[in-house]
Amino acid sequence: MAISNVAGKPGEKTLLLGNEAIARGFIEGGLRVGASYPGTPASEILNTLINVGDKYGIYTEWSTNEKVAAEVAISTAISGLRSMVSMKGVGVNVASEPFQAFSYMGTVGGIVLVSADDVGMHSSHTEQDNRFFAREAYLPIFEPPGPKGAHQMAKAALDYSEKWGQPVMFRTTTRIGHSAADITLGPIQKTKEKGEFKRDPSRWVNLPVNARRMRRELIERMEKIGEEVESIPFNQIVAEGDGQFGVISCGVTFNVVREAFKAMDLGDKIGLMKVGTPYPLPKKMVQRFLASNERVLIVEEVEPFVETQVKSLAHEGSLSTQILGKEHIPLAGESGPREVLMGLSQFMGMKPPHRFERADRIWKEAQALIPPRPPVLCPGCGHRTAFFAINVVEKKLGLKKEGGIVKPSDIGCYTLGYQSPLNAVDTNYCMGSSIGASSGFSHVIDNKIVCTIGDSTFFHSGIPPLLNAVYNKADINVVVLDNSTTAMTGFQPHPGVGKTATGQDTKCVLIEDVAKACGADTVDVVGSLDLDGLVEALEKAVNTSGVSVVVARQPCVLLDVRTRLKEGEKINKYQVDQELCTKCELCLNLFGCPAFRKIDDVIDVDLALCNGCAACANILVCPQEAFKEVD
Amino acid sequence: MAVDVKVVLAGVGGQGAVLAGYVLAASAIKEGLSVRTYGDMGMSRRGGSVSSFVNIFDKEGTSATAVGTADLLVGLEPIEAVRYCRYLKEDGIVVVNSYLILPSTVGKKERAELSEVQNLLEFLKKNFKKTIVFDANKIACEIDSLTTNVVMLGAAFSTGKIPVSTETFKQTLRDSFAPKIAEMNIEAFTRGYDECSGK
Repeated sequence: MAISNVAGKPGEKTLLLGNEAIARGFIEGGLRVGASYPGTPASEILNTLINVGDKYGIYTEWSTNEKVAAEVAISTAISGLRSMVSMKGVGVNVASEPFQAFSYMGTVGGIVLVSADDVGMHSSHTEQDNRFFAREAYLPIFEPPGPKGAHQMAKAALDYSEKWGQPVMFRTTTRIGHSAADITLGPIQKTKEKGEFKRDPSRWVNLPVNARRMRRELIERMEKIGEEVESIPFNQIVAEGDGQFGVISCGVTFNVVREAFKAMDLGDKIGLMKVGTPYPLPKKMVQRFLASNERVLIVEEVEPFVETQVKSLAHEGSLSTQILGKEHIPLAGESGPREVLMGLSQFMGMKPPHRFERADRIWKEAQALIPPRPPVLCPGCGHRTAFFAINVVEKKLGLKKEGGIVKPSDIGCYTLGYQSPLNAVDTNYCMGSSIGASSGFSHVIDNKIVCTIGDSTFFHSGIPPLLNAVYNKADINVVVLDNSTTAMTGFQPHPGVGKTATGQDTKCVLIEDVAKACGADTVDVVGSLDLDGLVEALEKAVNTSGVSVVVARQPCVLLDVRTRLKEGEKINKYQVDQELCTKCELCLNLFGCPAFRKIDDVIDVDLALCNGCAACANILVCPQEAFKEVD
Repeated sequence: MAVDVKVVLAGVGGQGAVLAGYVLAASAIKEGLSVRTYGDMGMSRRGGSVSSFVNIFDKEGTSATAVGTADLLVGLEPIEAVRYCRYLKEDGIVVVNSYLILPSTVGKKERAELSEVQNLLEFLKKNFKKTIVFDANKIACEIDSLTTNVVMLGAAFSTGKIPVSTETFKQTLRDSFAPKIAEMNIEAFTRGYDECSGK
């Protein structure tokens, strides 16, 4: 029973999230292997394949990082079976190298690299447009207009990749992956269980001598693909228009453009071309569209990827069509109904039909009335206690006077240690950067350095920089915040959990063993909720020169409470004894558990939110020890 | 008649705004309608501000909602209702839970100012044709504290703005969840509906 039925019968209509629709498309396309590393907005693609993979003979895995996932998928494709590797947009940076080389080799089975770009940066640190990566690596791109299109296109991407003998990119965005729609399920192509590796070192070994030959073959292959995209259904001149104005729309903006046409009452006056393969573009179709319109607006999100190609095609074809794009459509953020309506109106020299002044005034007034509500660490989260302990040690050792401890951090739930009142994150560049950044600091500044990195991120890309710190004699302290899951993206397992993606038992690799093997000078393991133990271990680490590692371990409180409630266990909650509370507000101003509240001058705990971690009962959080277990 | 209804659900991570949006969308599909939803996921879930947009059509449409164009705002929490009310049309309807959840990141001064829920509710009443206020938290806690989202959906249905029958919605709950959970949510839905119908 579920709201969505990804494993439903062909013809059935069900509500599917864009990412579920993509997964279903792959299943319908005879997928054999799906590999990924969790990351918003891509996670649900592999989550879905894991949930139903057994039924369709699909092997799934959470790989340790995107590069490894790519390599797993590539070997499947080389063995003649179909595979997909999905990741958030920035993950493509990590997976870049194998795809650069694999593109030269070409593929046997269909293989799709899903790049879930985060336009709007809902949960990423860049808005990078990976279509440029695909262009550079010669990967044809499929870019769907919405969840329904994504469902059809995912299957087609596998088919075309195999037909063309070339790996392809499926570029989706947060808007598509996290939109749900009514989807009609299609028939499923069965996959073979075993592939066959046909030995051919001149192709599968990318020595320069082979690569030089393969690069020429690649260019020829892409020319042929360029011809083929002229006739695939995802590229289409939808409306001819009256020859004056035309719009070329790519990706998620297509349906928004159509809505805008309706709102502006443009009827069939305006031409419209839909682009589903922004690389290679259907050149002839584009030139035909340009030739039949005086002025053309390119509507696409983020970078002018299609726009610059179209301009170049106009030049090649000696076409005098006026081509506009980023003059009217924003470079940053999503191009939603408002942006497209405004851009299109400017382009047409019309007044926009909808006035946004009222909404803007309301928003201005609302902002003055309400505070932001950023995501925060959950009540009972062990990360909060660990960050609080770092702050306690900083104060206790009098380090604040010396410029304070420098606290590089990393990517995961614990990046939220950035928020007030903890304010315990000083830098964050990318996955695994905390340890490398710390090494860099240790050679050039005098401050003590305590960095934080999560368990999953440690396995993803924390091990080489730890080795580097040891090898290059850095003086740093590394706190591995181990909540035994990849929490932010929805509790995916990793090598330190002892379970595979599908829940099978496997070896559990302990972070402390890895740290010792890397040569760390001291390695301590403390429970994240043991505030006194944490302070002691951190004090020792900071006072020891060389590389000290403290593993702060506590299962993610959300998962832990869920499991304990299921097992019939009671969660012992904590409440403020009002007799003892002096209203000093230190608990709110230094620790900041979201379950604490102050209403009508009374500080208490919202018991609906309390997860019973007991950290507040420690004298370091409340000098009065006013937090008491509820009977 | 053409169906084109835009609903915005706004709340705090953990209240179930996104899940409520899916159940609403699934119920619309049962009535033969087309839907597009967009819900915040990933980083937003950790106690942050969360919204879910549910657009229901008889033909096709998009999941993107421009400010000033939604028909109904379902505010699971008053601060979040104020945050997302810009999406509502002038003649749109607000249904809002009066139970306040203060962000843990606010400072001492803001804490005192924000405790005045009345200011937030007045703001909504001033700007929109109709604002229905009630304590959904109190009703939910009598059933199960996790049912606030469905109590609020009951209230949303009572406005008559949602083009789905209450029977279809209840059936969707039965089809989507285990019997015990479905019945609990149906009770929450009915309580919310009864509390607000005629308001």
